[in-house]
Amino acid sequence: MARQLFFDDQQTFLQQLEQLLKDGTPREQLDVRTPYHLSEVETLLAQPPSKLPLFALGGALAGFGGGFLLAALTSLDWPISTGGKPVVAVPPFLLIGYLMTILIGSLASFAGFLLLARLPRIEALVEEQDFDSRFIITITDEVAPCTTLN
Amino acid sequence: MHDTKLSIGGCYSLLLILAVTIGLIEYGGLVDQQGSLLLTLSFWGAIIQGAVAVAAVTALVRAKWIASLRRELLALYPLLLLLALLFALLWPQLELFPWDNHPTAWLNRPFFMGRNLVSLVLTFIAGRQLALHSTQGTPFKDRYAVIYLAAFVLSQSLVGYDWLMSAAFPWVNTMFGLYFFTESLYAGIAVSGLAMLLYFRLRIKAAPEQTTLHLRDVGLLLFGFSILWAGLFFAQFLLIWYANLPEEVHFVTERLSHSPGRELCWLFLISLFLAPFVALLGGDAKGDLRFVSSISLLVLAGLFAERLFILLPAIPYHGGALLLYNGLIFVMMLLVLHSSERLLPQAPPERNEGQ
Repeated sequence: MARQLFFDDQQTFLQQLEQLLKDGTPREQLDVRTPYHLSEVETLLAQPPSKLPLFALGGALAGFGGGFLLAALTSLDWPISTGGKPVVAVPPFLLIGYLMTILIGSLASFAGFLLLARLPRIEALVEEQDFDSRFIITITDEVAPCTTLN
Repeated sequence: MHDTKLSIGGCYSLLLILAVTIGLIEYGGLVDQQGSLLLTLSFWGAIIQGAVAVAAVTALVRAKWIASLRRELLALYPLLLLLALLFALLWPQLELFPWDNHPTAWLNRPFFMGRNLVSLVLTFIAGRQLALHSTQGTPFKDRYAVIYLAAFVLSQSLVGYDWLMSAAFPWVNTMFGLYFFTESLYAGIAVSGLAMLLYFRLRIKAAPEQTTLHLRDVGLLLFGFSILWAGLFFAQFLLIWYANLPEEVHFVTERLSHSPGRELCWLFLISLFLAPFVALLGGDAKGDLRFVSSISLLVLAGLFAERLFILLPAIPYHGGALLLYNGLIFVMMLLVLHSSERLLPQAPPERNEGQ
């Protein structure tokens, strides 16, 4: 039989979670649900860090490299020397690279979020029980993998 | 250890002695090449005004970023007076500036000294009022925070336009004002990072969670400002590069065509952007005391290198005097930080402050 604890306040919820772990409740028996992401929960439950930053970093690097190469290769394909400047001019091409860093980095982060949050599967998104914006700790009797829904 | 703490009277007396000492070295026949004072002033002006400005910004927006260091940053306000005293010593050295032989409506001795002294004194008065009212927790602290920030922007803009840009007269750069007061805020955050090195172990015992969060804030702000600085630097560089006008380009080519300008340029580019950006990219690095304090020190070193890069071809200087002035002011700053509890007896109240 599972026991559920409801909290309206983030601080009280975190204190209670910490207390439960101090009292010796196994992490495997704790199922935590929060209205938004809390890195403290990850730390307390010793969950592996999110892979989302890797999507952002990969996207940003790909964006910068791709943006710079796009500008450089198109200039080389149709070389026009303007104002005595080199065909592959680094300073202005850095701008293209920088903007593409932001664009591809953002899109990769969003794609990573969708992937990691298992969206857009509605059945995984909609809960049977309405938790509103409260913090919930479910203590199960049986060992079950703990999850944190953000 | 308690006896080494300065009272407010002792602090002002020591500042006066320091200013007189620097004046005697500068004009007592010990230094053959004058210029070290201007270089020292432009560097420490950014650091001291920026540190108080960071405290003013956080007080104004009710932020809890670096709240555990706010009193220490505000306690640096007496040093704002030192800047004004040292600037007054520059009067006989104005022949260093190329415009001194051809005064203009804006660039002439009386007006140059007058407006800069007024802005420095105004910054000191506003900084002092802000510090005292923040300590007392009076409702006037917001008003003084706004006045201080306005004076700070004015003063640092004048540092950019008057002290540094006019040394390369007739070269002009309309972005220098914005660039220098932003850089000064960056320096203020770096000072916070170094102050963390002094206070972290003391504060972590009293409030471990809060102190750790504040250290992360400093790391995060350093990271953010490294990107902002790079953006502002690049905006200036790109326009000069694109337009390729002889009257603009000579400023860059004169400095980059030979040593040590070339090396100094790489040094400040790495110290102010590349190193902080790469080193603080990871989440763990932002919460690591050694990392954050090392990067803070590097940022300040980069700031000094940049001042050298700008002034070196235009202003002669004496290496020994430069080291001595910077050393003396650094020791004075450490003394003021050490005496912060006595200079500002009450901690700023944390009530009424949101996230």
